[in-house]
Amino acid sequence: MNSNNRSRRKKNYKLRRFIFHLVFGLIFTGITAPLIIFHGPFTNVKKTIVDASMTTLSHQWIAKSFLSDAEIQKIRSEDKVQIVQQGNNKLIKFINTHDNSIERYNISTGSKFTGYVLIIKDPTRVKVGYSNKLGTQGELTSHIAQDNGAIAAINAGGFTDSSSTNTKFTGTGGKPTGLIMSNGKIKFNDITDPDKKVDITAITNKAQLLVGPHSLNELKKLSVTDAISFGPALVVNGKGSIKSGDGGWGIAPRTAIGQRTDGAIILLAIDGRTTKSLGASLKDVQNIMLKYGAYNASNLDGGSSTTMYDNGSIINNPCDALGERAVPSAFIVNH
Amino acid sequence: MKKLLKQTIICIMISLIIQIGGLYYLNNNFLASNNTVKSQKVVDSSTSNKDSISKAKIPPNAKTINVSYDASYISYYLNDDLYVVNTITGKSVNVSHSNGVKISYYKWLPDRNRMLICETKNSNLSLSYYDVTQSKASKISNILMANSKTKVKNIETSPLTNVIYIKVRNGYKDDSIYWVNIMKTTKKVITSSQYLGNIKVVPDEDKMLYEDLSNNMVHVTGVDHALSFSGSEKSCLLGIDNNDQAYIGDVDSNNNIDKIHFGKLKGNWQSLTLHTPVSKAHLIVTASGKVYSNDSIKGTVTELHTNRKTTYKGAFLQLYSNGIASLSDGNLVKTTLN
Repeated sequence: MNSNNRSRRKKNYKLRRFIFHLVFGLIFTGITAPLIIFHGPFTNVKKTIVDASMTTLSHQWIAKSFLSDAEIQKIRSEDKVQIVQQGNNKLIKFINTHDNSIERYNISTGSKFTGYVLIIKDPTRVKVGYSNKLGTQGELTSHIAQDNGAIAAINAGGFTDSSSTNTKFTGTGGKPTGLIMSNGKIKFNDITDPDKKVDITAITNKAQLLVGPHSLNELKKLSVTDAISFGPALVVNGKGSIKSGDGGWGIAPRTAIGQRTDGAIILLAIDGRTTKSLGASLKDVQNIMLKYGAYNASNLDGGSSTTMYDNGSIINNPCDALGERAVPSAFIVNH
Repeated sequence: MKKLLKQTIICIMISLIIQIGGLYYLNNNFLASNNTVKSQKVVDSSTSNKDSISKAKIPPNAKTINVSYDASYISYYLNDDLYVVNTITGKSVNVSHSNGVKISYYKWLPDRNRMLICETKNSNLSLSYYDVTQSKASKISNILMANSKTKVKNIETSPLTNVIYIKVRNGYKDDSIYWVNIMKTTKKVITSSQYLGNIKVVPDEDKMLYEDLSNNMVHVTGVDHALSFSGSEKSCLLGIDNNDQAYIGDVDSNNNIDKIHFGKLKGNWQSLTLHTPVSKAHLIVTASGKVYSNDSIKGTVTELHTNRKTTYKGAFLQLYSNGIASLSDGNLVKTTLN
């Protein structure tokens, strides 16, 4: 009887001690983790957390409670994408061979992300397509492609992410931002000053890809036929515009477009926000574009919008629960 | 005392090792931008299959049979497992998870070959999707803690605003609606009562219409209000089309519908009087804004505006994007609408 009691007490004591250590361990981790993250050697982790918290309005306190404003400034400035002007006389000249082929690649880093690349040999096939209900609601990238009889497509321009009742994150793609130009005609424009430079991704009548800040007047001068506003430019005249840091946009699903010196257009979609593919930074996108020989390249609308369509079906995995999302515009590849 | 100190130090060491190890992995694998990217060329090997004869055989004891929006796929429960069958190739996939997960409800999305599934595991009700074309399934979010009486009664979505509404019955007649948005945020929707009938989502706005069974009126969420029509005492919700037009039926004393009011929530309403009142179960509103009445005895579907009839074979299943799906001798029959 007595020994039984003692062993029970011993067991109780062991259990209590175990719980004590568990609670202690958790508290200790809770206190030390922020210190290690913000003042330890893991610069990428620090940067990602600072960027992610500073790009929201409501969670800036996360970075601000551990770092001084000057330190945050320093981290943020390391990640800036440099603005390089493409220059009107530096546009590439190529002889169009009108090769009708499209090459497709699946890319993967193993654990961070998986993506898809399409290389369109003949750049004159690439145009801007837009929602058939532009202004009131967006359309699925695949439907924009099918409406135009296109063989491939990626989503392109951005939009205000709220529906008419203004609930956040319920955007129907009906409220585009910036410029949408297709086949030489302006389909949507909210840029009032024709000399104001904004990030543009455009294609001229000679099938040259324009990236980075351009004004409406410049686009006219360069005989642009198809354009949307989005950026930043990641490769300008053969050089990457992110020299240090990851670009400062965190990791997410990404869409991008680029052009090689032989004129071929590179379309890229990277999946994200799933356990199999977390997403890519702007620097990752720049690296892939350079790897595929891009001379100019621009980032396009990413996140839930990232969609790539090829030969009748969606080939990437759009991260939203309902799948492919309605968007205002897309780059389409005609037959 | 010495022992306690020793254990505490071990505790600290473990915590530090896990933290530093984890952060090191994150820092150098996920967050570094110098990953080596492997690329693999994809050669197009698709053989187009334009065969339109359905090869899908439906077992006689299949339950809750539905077709996807374009009738490319048909789905049903067989012994508590959920099967999705390609109607062209006849290839069948068991979508159910194995251990302890019970599928409570499933619904095809209105414009793509993807379904939403509500599952319960250890009294946890969660929402997930299954994309048939990509054979990919993934959990979306947890909805609520469920008891044995909890049943999902309906899922309605708007792929444009990316919102999902889930109707859950908790007890005998106690209904609640849960809302899930693109960021996987979940909240409970405030409704005028706990006795709810049919629900529908407005495609372009984050708003839901629902039948309040306590007063037999159709309500709109947001600034909650009932839709009232002069001369109608009892209303029911028939549907909403792609142009945000709602279709509300007047219910007569025999529980049939004799008049349909249709229009946008903020616009003018029009009405359509039915020559012979029809039961609610036989009225179908399509996304393109057409109203059909099904006569299951004669085997015909009639468009109410034009009176155009289409005859089908076997037992009516449902309408799909441009036709009627019906079952005849365990075979799926697709009939294009006239």
